[in-house]
Amino acid sequence: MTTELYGTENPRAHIIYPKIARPEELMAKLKIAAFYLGVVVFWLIVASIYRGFGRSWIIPAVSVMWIAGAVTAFVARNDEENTTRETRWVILGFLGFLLIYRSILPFIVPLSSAQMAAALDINIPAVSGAAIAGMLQSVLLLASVLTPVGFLIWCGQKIRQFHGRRSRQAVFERVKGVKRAMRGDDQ
Amino acid sequence: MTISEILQSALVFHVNAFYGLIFFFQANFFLLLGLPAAVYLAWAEIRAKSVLSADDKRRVT
Repeated sequence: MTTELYGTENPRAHIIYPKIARPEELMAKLKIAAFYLGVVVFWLIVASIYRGFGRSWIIPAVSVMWIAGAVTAFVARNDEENTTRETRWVILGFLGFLLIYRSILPFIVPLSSAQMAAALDINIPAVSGAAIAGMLQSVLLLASVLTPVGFLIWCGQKIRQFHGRRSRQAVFERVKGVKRAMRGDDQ
Repeated sequence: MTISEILQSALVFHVNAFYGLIFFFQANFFLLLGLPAAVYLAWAEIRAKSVLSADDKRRVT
């Protein structure tokens, strides 16, 4: 039957492990590379939109996230693919939040205290306009600081979990060694 | 436009581009650390994807 299908050649070469990547496999790899390129370009765009804040905080913070993801993927090899995928999605989400926040602010900020008071049907003092500006600044600082910090914590627990699993394996090996020694076949 | 003029303008253009890159990375120093990490992550994910191809070292032959 294999002779009918594949002639006199070794059929395994056709069925399993081809020398050249299949088109869909190649396309999947190209998509991953394009995704990373897109995230990096998006990173530079968002950082340039935020001007001084982008240069002094967004670029270092996202750099630290890339480095933490790379170190975690390198150290915890058993979960490499998930780590890489989650790193790029977290960074994309972080940058997306920053862009959306920057985009919707011009629609919210021009509302005066009187308009807000009318909208909410409560008494709002006129000085609360300045408080809103401070709150927007605080929201930006909190979100842009806590997201990278949370990601670092996530990477840390992943590495720690990996080492925990390794030490558990070491304990199993030791117990097996003790059992072998008790049986007397530890040569 | 003579060949020497073309070479001259190409040289000036490339030196300008080179200094532009230097100034860019001087202003955004952390990119020099973040970009290699991003490239490593892309490479690691692509390598993890290629389970079925011939260059995968983890396959059982």
